[in-house]
Amino acid sequence: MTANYLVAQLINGLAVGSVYALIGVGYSMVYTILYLINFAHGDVIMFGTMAALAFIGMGVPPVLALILGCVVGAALGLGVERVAYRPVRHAPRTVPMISALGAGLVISSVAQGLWGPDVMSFPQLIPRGTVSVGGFSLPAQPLVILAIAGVLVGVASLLLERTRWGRATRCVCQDLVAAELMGIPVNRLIPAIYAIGGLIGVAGCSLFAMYFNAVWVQMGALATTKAWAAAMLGGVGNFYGAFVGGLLLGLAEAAAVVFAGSLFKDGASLVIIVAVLLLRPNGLFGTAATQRS
Amino acid sequence: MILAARDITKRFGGVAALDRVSLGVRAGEVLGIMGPNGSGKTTLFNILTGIEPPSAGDILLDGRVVTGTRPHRIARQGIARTFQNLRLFPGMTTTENVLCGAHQREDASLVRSLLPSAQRAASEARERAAAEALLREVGLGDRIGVYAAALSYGQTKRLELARALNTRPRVLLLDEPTAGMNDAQAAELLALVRRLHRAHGLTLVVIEHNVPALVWLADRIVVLESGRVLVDAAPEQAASDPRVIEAYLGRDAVPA
Amino acid sequence: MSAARAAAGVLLFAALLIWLPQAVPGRYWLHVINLSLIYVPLAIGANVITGYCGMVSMGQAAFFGIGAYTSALLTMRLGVPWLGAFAASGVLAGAAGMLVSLPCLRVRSDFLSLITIAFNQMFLVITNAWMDLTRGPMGLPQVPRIALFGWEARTEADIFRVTGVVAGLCAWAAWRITSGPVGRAWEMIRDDEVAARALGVDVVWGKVRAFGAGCFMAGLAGSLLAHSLRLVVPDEFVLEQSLIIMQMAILGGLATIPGSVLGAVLMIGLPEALRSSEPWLMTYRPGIFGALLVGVMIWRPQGLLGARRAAPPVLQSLSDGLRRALRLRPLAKVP
Repeated sequence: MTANYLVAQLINGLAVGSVYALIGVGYSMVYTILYLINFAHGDVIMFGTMAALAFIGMGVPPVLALILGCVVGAALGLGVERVAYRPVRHAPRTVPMISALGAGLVISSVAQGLWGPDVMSFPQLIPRGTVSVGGFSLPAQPLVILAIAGVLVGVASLLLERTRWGRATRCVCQDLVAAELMGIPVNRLIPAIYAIGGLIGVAGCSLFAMYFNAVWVQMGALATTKAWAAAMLGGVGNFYGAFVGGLLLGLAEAAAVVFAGSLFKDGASLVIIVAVLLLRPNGLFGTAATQRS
Repeated sequence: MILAARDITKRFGGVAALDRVSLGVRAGEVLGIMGPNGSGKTTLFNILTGIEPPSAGDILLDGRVVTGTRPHRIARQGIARTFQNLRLFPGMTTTENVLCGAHQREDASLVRSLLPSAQRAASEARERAAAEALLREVGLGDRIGVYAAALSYGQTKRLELARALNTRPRVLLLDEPTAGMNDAQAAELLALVRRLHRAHGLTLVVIEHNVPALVWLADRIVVLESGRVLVDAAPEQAASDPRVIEAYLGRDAVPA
Repeated sequence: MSAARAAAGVLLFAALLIWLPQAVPGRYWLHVINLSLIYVPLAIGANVITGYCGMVSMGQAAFFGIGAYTSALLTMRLGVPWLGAFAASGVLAGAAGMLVSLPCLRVRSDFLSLITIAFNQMFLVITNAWMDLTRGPMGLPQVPRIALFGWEARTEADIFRVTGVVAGLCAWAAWRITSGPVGRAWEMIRDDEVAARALGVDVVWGKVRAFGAGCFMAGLAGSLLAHSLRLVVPDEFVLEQSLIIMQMAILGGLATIPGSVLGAVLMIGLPEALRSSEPWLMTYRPGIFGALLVGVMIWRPQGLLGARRAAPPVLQSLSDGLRRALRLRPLAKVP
C-alpha cells in the first residue's frame, strides 16, 4: 500500500463523493423547503442521464447531449412538481411522498420500456489515464470530475448568494410561510427548485455514469441512498453541508475499499445514515431543530 | 394549588416569550389568562402540557415538580386541553372522537386485546354509553354517530370539549374556546362551560381574548404582557387595572 | 361478534380449507393461490404500519427476508422443527423492526422511509456477502418442507392448508388488535399526533409497536416462503419487492384487513397467473401498478375495498388534490 495508492484512492473518493453531493442537492433543497422526501428524484436524474446517452447515440455532440440531458432532467423535475406535488401540497406529508413514489415508478417503467433493464456503458468523455501531480501519478478522470463538480457547486452558490432569485430561494428555505408573506412568488420558485435539482442531479448522475462506466434503469435507487447519506451527514438543508457531506462519504467509501474490501463500499453509506440519526441527527452543519416525532 | 407555574422563562433565540411567569390554579377554580397578542399565552399552555420545555422554571402538579415530563404522561396525570386550532380526528364519528378521550383508561396491552373478554366488552359498552351521555350534555345529542368532518364550527368546539372531558381531567386547559365566534355563539359556549364546571366540579384554566366574557366566567384573572405577569387579581380588578388597559388600548385610553 | 357467528365463521373457513384444493383445476392454480396467501401476512403487516399507524416503510422485503433466512437456517443448520423456526422468524423479524425504527422515531420520523430503504439495502449487502452463513447470491437450496408433528407438506394442497391457516390467523389477529384500544391509539397517532399525545397516547411507543407487529407478520410470511419454494435467495428481497408490498396495502385498501387480502391477490396472484400468457405484465408490473396507484387515489383513495370513511385523511387529501388538478369535483367526504 504505497503512498501513491493512498493518494489515488483519496482522489477517487473525493470525486465520487462530489458526485453524490451533486445528486443530493436536489433532495436537500426540496426537503428543506417542503419537508418532503422527493422519491421521484432518483428516477428523474436516471432518465435524464439515459436520455443524454440516447442523444449521443443519435449523433449529437457529447457536450450538447449532456446539456440536453440536464434539460430533460429539469423538465421532468417540473413535471413531477406539477403532477405529484402541487395537487397535494396541503396534505399531510405522507401523501406527496407516496405520489412522488408513484411518479418515480412510472418514470422508471417508461425508461425500462425505452431502454431495457440492462446495464449499459457510458462514453468516456473524460479520458482515463494518469497525470503527474506533485510527484504522484494520479488518475485523471476523478480529478476532472472533482473539478467539474467544484465548478458547478461554485456557480450554484454564486447564484444563491448574488442573484435575486438566489436570495429568494434562501428565504424560502428558511421559512416558507414568511417568504410567501413577503411577496416572494413561492409558487414559481418551488417548480424552479424541482427543475434545478433535476438539472444539477443529471449532471451529477452523468459524471457518476462516466466514472463507473455504467448506466442502468435502477441506478436511481442506488443514487438515492448515497445522496441522502451525503445530505444527512452534512446536515439536511445546508447547501455547502451537503457538498462536504458528499466528500466525506466518498472518503468513507474509499477507506472502506482500502481497508475492508470493495464489498463493503456500499455499506459505508448505510452505516453513515444510521450513525447520523443516532448520534447527530442534525448532521455536521445542520441547524434545524430536532423535530419531535 | 393543583397546577402551578413557577418562574417559567421561555426563550426563542434572543427573544423571551415568557419571563419569570408564576401563576397557579386552585381546585375547583376558573383561572382566566388574557393578554394582547404575542404575550405568551399559548406558549404557556404548551409548557404546562409538556409539549415544550421551559428554558427555566418549573411546573408543579400538586406541589410535585413535573417539568420535563413528556406530554402524554402529563395528560395521564390529569391535565387535559383543547386546542385553539381544533385538533379533532375528522375521519371518526363524534362518538369515536369522544371515546378517544377514554383511551387512558383502557388496557392497551397488545396481547390481551387478542383474546375476547366479556369484561372488556362490558367496559367498552359502558364507555360508549358514557361518551353518548357526554355528547348529549354538550348539546350534540342529535349528532351522535355523525362524522366529525360534517359538524359546524360551533359543534366541533363542543366536540373537542366533550372529548377533553372524557379524559376525566383534574385540570382542563381551554385555549381560546370562543375564537372565531360571534357574540351569541360565544355566550352559548361559555354558558356551557360554566354548566360543565359546576356539574363536574372542574378546575379550569381558560385563555380568552373576549374580556367581558372572561370577566363573567373566571374566578381570577392573570394578565400577561410581553411574557410577564402584569396583574393577578379578581376579574373586575384585573379588567379595570390601568396597566391592563394601557397594554390593550394604549396610554391614552386610560381614564384620567 | 357473537359466539355463534364466530363459530360459524371458523367452520366456514375450515370448510374452505378442505374443499378448495379439490375445486381448483390443477396444481398451477393452487400454486398461484399459495403464493398470494404467503403475501397476505406481508400485506396486512404493511397495512398495520401504513394504513393504521400512518408510517411509510419502504423496506418490508428485508423483514420478509429475515424471516425466510431465519427459518431456513434454523431448520437446516440446527435441526429446529418447522413450527419453532416459524415462530422464531416472526419474533426475530419483529424485533429487528422495532430496533430499526426506534432510534428514528424518537428523533425524526420523517426519515423512517429512508431508514427502511437503507436497512433493506444493508440486508441485501449482508446476505450477498456473508457466504458462510447464507451462501451469498447462490442462496439456500433444498430447504426442508413444512413439517408439523410428523406430517409433512408434500403437495400444493398441503401447502395451501398451512398458508391458509397462517393467513387466516394473521387476519384474525390483526382484526382483533386494530379494533381494540391498541388499534385506536394507532389511528389517533395517524390522524393527529399532537392530539393523540394530549389524550395520553405514547406516540413513540405506539409507532414502534406498530412497526414491530408489521415486521413480525412479514417474518412469518418469510418462513412460509422459504419452506414452500424450498429456496431462499437474496434477489427475492430487493427494494422493488418492498415497493410492491407497500402498494399491495395501499391498493387493496388502507386500514381494512380484507383490503390487504385483495391487494396480495391482485399484485402477486394476478401477474403470476398471467405470467405465461402475458409476460410483459411481470416486466412492467412496477410501472403499471404505479399508474394504477395514482388512478385509485383519484377515484377511490380508500383503496379498492376500504369503506369511504376509512380513507385515512392522508389519502382523502390526495384524492381531493388530484381531482382538483383534473378539474373534477371532490368526492363527498361523508356518506
